[in-house]
Amino acid sequence: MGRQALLMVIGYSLIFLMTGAMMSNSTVDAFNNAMNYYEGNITREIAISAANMGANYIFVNKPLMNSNPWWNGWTTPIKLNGGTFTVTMDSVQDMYGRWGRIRMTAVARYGDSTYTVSVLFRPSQFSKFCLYAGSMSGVYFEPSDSVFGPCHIDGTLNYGNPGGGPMTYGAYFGGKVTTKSGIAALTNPAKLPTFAQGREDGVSIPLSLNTSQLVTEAAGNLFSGGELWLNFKNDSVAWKRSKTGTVTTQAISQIAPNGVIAIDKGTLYIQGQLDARLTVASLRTSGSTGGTVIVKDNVTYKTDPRVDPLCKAMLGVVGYGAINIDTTGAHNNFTVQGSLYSQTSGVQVVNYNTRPRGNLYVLGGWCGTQIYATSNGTTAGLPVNVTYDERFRVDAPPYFPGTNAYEILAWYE
Amino acid sequence: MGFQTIVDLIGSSVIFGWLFLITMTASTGNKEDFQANQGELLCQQNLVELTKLLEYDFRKIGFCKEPDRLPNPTLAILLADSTRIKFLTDLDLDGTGPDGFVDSLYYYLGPLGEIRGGMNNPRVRILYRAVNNLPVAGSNLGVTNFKLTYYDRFNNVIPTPVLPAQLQSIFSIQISLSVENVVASAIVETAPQNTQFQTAFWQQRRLSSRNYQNR
Repeated sequence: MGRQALLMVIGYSLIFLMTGAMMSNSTVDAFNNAMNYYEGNITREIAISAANMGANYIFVNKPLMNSNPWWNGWTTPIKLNGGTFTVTMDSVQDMYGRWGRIRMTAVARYGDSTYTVSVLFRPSQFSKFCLYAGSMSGVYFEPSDSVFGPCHIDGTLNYGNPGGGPMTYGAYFGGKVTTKSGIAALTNPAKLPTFAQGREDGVSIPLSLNTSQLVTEAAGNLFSGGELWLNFKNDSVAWKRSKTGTVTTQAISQIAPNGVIAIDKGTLYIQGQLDARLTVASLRTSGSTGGTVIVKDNVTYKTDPRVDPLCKAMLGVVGYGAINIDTTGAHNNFTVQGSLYSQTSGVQVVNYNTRPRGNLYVLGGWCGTQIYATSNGTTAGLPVNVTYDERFRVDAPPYFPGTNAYEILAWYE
Repeated sequence: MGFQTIVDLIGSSVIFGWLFLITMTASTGNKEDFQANQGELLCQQNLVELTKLLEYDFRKIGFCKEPDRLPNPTLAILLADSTRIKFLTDLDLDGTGPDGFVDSLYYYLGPLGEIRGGMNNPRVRILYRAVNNLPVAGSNLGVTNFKLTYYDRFNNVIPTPVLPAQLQSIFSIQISLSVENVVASAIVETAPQNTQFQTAFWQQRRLSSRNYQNR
């Protein structure tokens, strides 16, 4: 073979090698691009798994709750799916400077990638429910019923039309619904309620009143036996020990520095307008008497939190026994703003089937072991309209009864 | 010059011409292939970058570092249509992390024909991203299709545009994204126009923000 031919072969080979290299570079870059995305996804999956495992640990072991020890997380890298992860914990304040929330940070590493998931928890409280019922014995969600907030039935959710007749539509649930034992129709065919935010069965959240904590927080302002009449006057409260007793007016910050006013083994009467964060409680630490709350007239906030974003007032009403609506004002429509909690009973309207017809507007939530009728359906009583106070999704009145579990407030990744 | 020499010259000219043609054809083909490969690469890179951005943003629907400022995340979606969505979130605006204040984020697909030019892909549209009231940002990354499909908790498709009363019913979102080369890759117009633009497609089924439905 001549020299020219040899040069030609070498030349062509070089050209094809260069072309091949260029093509190969493109292919390698495309592969790297795909691998980069894949690696990022794997890293994310490891971080999500770590966060889920950490959250599960928190849900099961409940650090700092019920005297449980603090948990530091998993600070030594743990291998998972070809990568590693760590989980660290931190106690954080909310935007008002109050402690109680915890932040879990899961960091995953895979190859050169790092991915971080940060989850914020808070102790869950019953005020987060728009409606909570321990059971629905003999009570049904009828077509005219609607619940526009989170709802939990710690038993079976009954629905139907006890009045008889055909149903064209069912009850409406605008928020998330959880039940312990599922749902049951009164008669068939009954229209299934609308669960706009879904329904989850098999969730048990029993009522849990930590009496000793409220006693502790009420401290020297724990009243014992008899009656306690509270008339809220914005950031003050006028109180007396009997209907005709001497009235004492004190700043709420003075009488309840921890935000709790309580009476043990007695009856609590409330009314007025509030401009503070407060929980009022009627407890029963022992014996078989007391623990009842009686609402005597409107209980409202100074400004409506639905229109006033700066409204700081927040009320929790806690009763060991029933919370009775026994209003005697000259008007027939009443408003109660706050989250109502009854450990052994529920919210009841006194003389619901004989008292003058009106309406009861509740802004907040309603928790009790049972749901009771509030009107006779036609001529007497107080049909109820419970509107959820959206602030209760992330906040609660001071020391309001907790569910003994944490809930997730924010998930950042 | 003898007869043999003339035959050699003619023969060598024919062989040279033949080799030259082969070289030129191979060169043109290689350039086209290279261009196409580069176009494909660019297309995929654009797709990955867009995908990462969409996933990053959509996973934060309803998130706020200070949850008290956005107590009900199910109200976070303000507008939902097949090619546009506006929602509330807490963005990292200055690179130091979310600031705890609620921001609005608006994604929408621009109209056809915004990008003009001889070799430009006529199907390409601009995907805009508007944060709060800041100037709208959009870049030509070759988006030809950006389709959003909304599902309720029971996996039923919610018709678009989603009515305000139904916005809270949104449980998950399917995002379909197609990206094409923004300019034609063929040097010579030997291929039909459609095949001159490399295409990449991505679909995220049932993307659901952890914050959106957590309360």
